[in-house]
Amino acid sequence: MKVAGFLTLVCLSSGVLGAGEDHLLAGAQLFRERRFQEAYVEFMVASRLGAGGDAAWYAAATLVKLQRPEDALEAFAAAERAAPSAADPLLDYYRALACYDVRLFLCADALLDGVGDRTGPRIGAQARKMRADIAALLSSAPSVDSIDWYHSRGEDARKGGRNALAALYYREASALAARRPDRHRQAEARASLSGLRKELAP
Amino acid sequence: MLLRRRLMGFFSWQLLGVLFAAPGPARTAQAEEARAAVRAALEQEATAPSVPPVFPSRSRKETDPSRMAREQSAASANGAAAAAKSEAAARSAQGAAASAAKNANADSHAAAGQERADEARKKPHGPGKNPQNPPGPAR
Repeated sequence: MKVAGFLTLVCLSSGVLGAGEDHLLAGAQLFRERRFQEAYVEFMVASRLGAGGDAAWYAAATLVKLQRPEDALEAFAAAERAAPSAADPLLDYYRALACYDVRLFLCADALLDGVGDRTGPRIGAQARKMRADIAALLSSAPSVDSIDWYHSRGEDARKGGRNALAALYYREASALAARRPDRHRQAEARASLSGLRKELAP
Repeated sequence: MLLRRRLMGFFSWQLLGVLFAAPGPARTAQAEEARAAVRAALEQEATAPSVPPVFPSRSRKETDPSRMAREQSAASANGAAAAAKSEAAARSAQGAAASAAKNANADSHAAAGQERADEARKKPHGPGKNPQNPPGPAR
């Protein structure tokens, strides 16, 4: 009786682990076919079936392709908390794209700095181009209006319970304020970040 | 004695469980294969942004970045669709033009043939029957 129960448990667990990888493979195929919605579902299922922490990173990258950059940034933050070692330059490139899409250009630049040529020449060239464009933008001081926009987005994210995303907006607001002589609302951004760090801490 | 036997039994089951549950080489290979496939797909689809970076503004109607990204994507997709459509239209037009030219060529050939046939019908057959070229004096 005990033996049968034990073997059932072992078979089930090994089947579940194998199924997780099957979903990863299915997700890869769908992603390649640009069927991102279905790929996202496969990666999420793989993640739930314990196919390793990187499945959550892949799901986050898929959200970038689904034009849901804010959701992607929240998902990347959660994936990083769960499996920090699964991060790599290719996933950082996708994360940088999500930052770029929501106008978090300093966030994108910092991630792209680590990408370099470690993802191959094509993506490396794209990363360099993006960094050059961002550098050109940052050559002039951001307006008060722009910094207010980041505060507004941060507040909205915080109200929506998306603390990781809110922290990104406030960090950007603080860093951009530092580029202005009047440091517009920098102290406020720092205070908001500090409050969020306490909430984000485990 | 009974306790020792129970303990031995417990540990042997534990060991067996660990052996069964530990990922074997086949599973590790499968996992590696799956990850390699995902990475290849991610690399293939790692595109660059289509728009240059611009600072946001509260005064502009750009309040939802996700919506903006979707709109940009939709615009890009519409552009691509329009480009594909115009390309298809161009191809179609090119095909139609080629076909028309072919037909025109065939028509002109046919017309020329018809003209020659008409001329041939009008022309009196036999020597000296052409009014424009009267026969020479008899030798």
